[in-house]
Amino acid sequence: MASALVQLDPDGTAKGTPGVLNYNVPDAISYPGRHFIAFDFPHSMFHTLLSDTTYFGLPGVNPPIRAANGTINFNDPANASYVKAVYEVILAMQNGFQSSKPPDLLANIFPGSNGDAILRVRGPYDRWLPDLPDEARSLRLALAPTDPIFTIVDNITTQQSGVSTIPQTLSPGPFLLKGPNGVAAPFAGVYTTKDTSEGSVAGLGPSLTSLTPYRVVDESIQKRRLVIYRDVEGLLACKFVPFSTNIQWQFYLVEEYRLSSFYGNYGAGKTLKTMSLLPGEKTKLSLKTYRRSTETTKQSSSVLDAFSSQIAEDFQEAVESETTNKEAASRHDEGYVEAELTGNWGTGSAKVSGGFKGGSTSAREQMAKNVSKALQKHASTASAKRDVKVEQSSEGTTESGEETGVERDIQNVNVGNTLNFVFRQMNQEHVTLLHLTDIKVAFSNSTYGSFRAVPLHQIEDFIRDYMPNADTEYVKTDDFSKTYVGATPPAGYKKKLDLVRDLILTEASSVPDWKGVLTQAVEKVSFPWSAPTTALWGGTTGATATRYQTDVSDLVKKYTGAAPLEPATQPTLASAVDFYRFKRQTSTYSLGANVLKVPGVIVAVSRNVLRTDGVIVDSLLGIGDALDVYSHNLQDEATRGKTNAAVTLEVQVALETLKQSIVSNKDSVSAALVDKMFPTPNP
Amino acid sequence: MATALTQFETDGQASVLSYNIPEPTIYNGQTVAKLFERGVGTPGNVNNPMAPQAGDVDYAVTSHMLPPAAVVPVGALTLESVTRAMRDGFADPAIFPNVGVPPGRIRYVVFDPVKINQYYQRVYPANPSPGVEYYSGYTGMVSEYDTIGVYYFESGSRQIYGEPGRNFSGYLAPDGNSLWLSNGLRMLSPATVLSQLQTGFQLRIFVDGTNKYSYRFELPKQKVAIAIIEKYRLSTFLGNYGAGRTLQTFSLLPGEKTKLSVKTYKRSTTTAKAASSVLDSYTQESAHEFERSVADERANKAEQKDSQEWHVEAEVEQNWGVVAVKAKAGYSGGTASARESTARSMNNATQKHAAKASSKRDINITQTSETKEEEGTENSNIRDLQNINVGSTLNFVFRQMNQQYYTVFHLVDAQLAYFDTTVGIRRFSFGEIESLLDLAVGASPSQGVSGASTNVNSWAAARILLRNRILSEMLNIIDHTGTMVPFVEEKVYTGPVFGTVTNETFTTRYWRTRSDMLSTFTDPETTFSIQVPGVILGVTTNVMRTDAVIADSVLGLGQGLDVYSQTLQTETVRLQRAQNDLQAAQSKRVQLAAAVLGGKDATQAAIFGQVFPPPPLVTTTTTTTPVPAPAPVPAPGG
Repeated sequence: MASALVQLDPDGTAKGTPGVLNYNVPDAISYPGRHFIAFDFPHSMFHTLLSDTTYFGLPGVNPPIRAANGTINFNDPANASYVKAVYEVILAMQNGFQSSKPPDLLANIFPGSNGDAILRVRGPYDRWLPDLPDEARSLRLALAPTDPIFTIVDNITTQQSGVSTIPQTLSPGPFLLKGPNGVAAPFAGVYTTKDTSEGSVAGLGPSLTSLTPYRVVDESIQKRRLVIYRDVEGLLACKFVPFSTNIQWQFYLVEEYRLSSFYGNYGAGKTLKTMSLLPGEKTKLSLKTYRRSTETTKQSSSVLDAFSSQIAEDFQEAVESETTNKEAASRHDEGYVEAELTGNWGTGSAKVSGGFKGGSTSAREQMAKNVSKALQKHASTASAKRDVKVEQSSEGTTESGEETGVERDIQNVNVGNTLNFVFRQMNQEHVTLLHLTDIKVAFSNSTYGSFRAVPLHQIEDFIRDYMPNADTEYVKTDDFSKTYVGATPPAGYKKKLDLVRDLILTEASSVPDWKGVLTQAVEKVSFPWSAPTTALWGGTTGATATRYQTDVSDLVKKYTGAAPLEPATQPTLASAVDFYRFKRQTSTYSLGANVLKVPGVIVAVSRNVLRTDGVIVDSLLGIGDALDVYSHNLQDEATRGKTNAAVTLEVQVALETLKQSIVSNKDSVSAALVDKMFPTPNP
Repeated sequence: MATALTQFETDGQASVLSYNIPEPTIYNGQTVAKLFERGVGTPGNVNNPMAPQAGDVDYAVTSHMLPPAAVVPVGALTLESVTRAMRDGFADPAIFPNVGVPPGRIRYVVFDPVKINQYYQRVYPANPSPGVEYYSGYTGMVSEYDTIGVYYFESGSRQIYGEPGRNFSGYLAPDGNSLWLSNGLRMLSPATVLSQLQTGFQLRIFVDGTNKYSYRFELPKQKVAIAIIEKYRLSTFLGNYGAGRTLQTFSLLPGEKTKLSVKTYKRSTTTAKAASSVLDSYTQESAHEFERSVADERANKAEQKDSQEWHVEAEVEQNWGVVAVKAKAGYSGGTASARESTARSMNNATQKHAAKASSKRDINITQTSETKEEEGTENSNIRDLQNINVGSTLNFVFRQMNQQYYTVFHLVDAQLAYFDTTVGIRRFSFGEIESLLDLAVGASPSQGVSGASTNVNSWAAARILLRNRILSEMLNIIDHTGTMVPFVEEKVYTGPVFGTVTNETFTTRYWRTRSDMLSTFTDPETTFSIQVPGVILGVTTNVMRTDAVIADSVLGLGQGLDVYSQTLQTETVRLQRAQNDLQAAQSKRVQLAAAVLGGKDATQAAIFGQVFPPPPLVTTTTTTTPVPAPAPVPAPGG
């Protein structure tokens, strides 16, 4: 027999189960953050080559002379250097944020050309806008036709400033930019040509679109440079950071944390309103939530259930205000610049001079406390703004100037009792886990460009890069100023590399989790190196050492015609690949029947309850009787009428059933009785 | 008997629809692991930190590596000589060494009325095209719209096209579009080039991430390096699917009707883009977003500068970073730890990327009144809801559906690369490792061993050592379970040689990556199992919200009706039931009649006639009335 063209797999369950809907698949909202721990190794342990001087500076510009109303006369010869600077910056900003001028180097600390200094520290490459990311190349500047730069006339000012003519690119016609609605409008500010050659402001944050060349120059007079970065929402944003002249060598631990919020219990919270309807009454009801207007929606959002740069900034502020170590918080040197851009949760310090003290554990705990506290405050502030209003409204009036919520008609169908409705706001519990997801080692001498962070497995080379004689010098473990070089170090001395590495790793590894149990966050792993098997080496017998000898000998024979006299010896093989790494682990937190899993070590748990815009209603009947005897009687009789109608039908059914059983049982006696009792009406 | 013209095959097999065929979403990327590096200069020179030194553990290998060719120093430059060199297509290696584009591909052309006279002489050919000016010293045609600029030339083409109506000073592409050159390159002026060259920088032109020619100025760093380019894949499979967070609770009072709208993040293009992720859809936005997460995660200035210095972006698409492997003595498998760190970064980046996109997946469920339409926003689906109960409130609970994903990060292939800052990148398969060795330490002993005495033995030893050390990196891949997996193997084939009397055989051997190997990941908790090509380095599970919503209803427990209304309801139900019973009984009577007839039982028929006299058997239809809401209550006293 021909079967259907297509059929479902007969062993469906064996080869794959039908789709199953899970009751709960928890998802998390997660915010990243970083915490630093600084080590106080003495300067004497570091290389001095790069650390003694600031070699790069922003060009010197005389502050402009301003009139009483704050304006600058661009034709005043005294302002020539300022005008020149502004002009250079305008050109740079119009040319993809890159200036045609080379950087000003303050000190040439390396023999050879300027290039060597730049080569050594890998930058900066630009005079006004050093070290911007490649993304900045698609940025452009448009000036308004009313921009003061266009007031420059061809006189002595412009000659002194080197600006002899205003070039075509500074054409003062209004620059038109298409808005989101597709209509072009005059635009002045920074835009991008990344997606369209006409330009747009899509993907740029307000800090960037409002950036002016005057600000760049003014900030550089204050010795601050422009940095461009992506904020948490992925928008390109900018800020100015100072050039530090204060040299301070330091190793850091960069701890990467994540704040993951899961949804916990959900249920009825505060009673919003109780509303009574009199017997038979009709009314209108309106429900207004905080989501009705953009303003209130913004105020009421939190990191626990939404993700935007606005919220992230609010939260970041909350964390910073919790950070009690003001000195560390106000440090503005270059090493922090990168980290400060997004989610910097502060810096702790670990005193290591004289051995391991575990200073990082308390710093870490403090950080966790600060973040949790900030989170609580942040959540309760947002929650407080989550107002839901239930109002009874009369028919004719509409509130002006304010949007109204949804209006609903309700009626009390009862005539004998009042009806009460109880409205309650729904609350959502959020369970937030603060977990450490990675640790890196970093160095900064607090000057421009010196910050560098590497994964843990590179720690030994990293130390060698910054500390001289790491493999040959021995340092006294309780006094770092005492060193020894030689074959037999005295007791109490440890190889410099080992000492520094062990101190850093011990601090890095000792992380107390949220239950107060000390957890190892770092591990040394060792993978035995597997000598290539015979199969992999093309079936040649013997280990690699043998193969090495044969191969070398074959190659030599090719050129000299004879095998080398001495067989080549392969350098000693390491028996294992070993390195340090952030331990691969998953931590769990039990939330009722659910187990929440996050990578890394959970250092803090906080549970916060936030209001939502959901409302649940239940009804409650008034107990008092509103009917007099007469009305009651009327009601009773109305009910009785219904009952009678029903009873009549029920009796008919009984009779019918009886009659049918008479027929079935061939009961002629009863049949005769039926005939007698219910005679057939004569037609 | 005639049959139909066509019919199905009698013993045909039905094709089988499987219950589940997992399909991964795939995202590709690569990393560059730099193994050995050598700069110019003598060992120990502070100006050339990359030169190998006797104390280095890599000295055995790197001292035998050939140093890069020295760059020609830039001579006396003037604005004119630079402009001319740009006009000639960046072809002069003395001014633009290692510029990165074929000579003549991109040219600077001057059409400025003032400057044009400096470099060109206007000529008047016999048959000019209308609207085109011709100049000597340059054979192209000039459109009246053109101004100063540098132009891209298809190879062999000498014709340039202007872009009508645009008045920029910069670079143009052929055919009147500007797609081939980045804005930065189009704006590049000879004055800028001159000042940068005079500071000691060199111009590099490369294809950027948006597939356009772009440029940067770099310090000449003369270095060579051997690297392994590892190709990775992120394959994402679907895991559990189920209810996630509660979106909204929503109550209907007894008998109430309302309208409800569900708006998802997919309603607008902007929010849909922000919520897209590489786990479930590959869009340009999601790919960019993911690449940014990876870059953030690998934030390491040195690495970034490394990939610039080696022009890695230009040559290695979707590059996830350059890792410098500082090898320890012996076969160290230094890439193993770097790879481990890459896997960690990728896992972190995937998780952050997924969490970010997921958090943008908002669904709004709002009650709307009929008349109002919000301006400016699109309308979404509006649904009518009613609480048909009159005695209780009805609450709806809406939950967003979540999808779990398994993301597997696996190594699928590897290549060898030889970087030379003065030449560029050359890539080799593992089968071509000997060609790489030819470049790195010389093809024969006389070419090799710079500086040191030419010794065949030491050259051969260095060459084999270098080969073994490169291979050893790929023989030790630590997979996600911590097992060492070899990823290269030597293939040996032996076969007969034709035309020999003594049955001679040949043997060929070569190295290759084991790209055909398969690895399996099994979730220990759910026994979910997937197989992917290559070596699995890391697995992450992520949960992302979807735009689906599941709703369930909860009846309010409070009673909203008084005794009278409740009794009315009870009696109404009773009446309805009695009516139905009656109808059922009547049907039975007809059945009974049929049975009596069927049994041909005269006695019974007589009884039937007696009990059910003829007239009552009129076909009366009892109509069922729908359940009414409680009848309007008579107003007391009315």
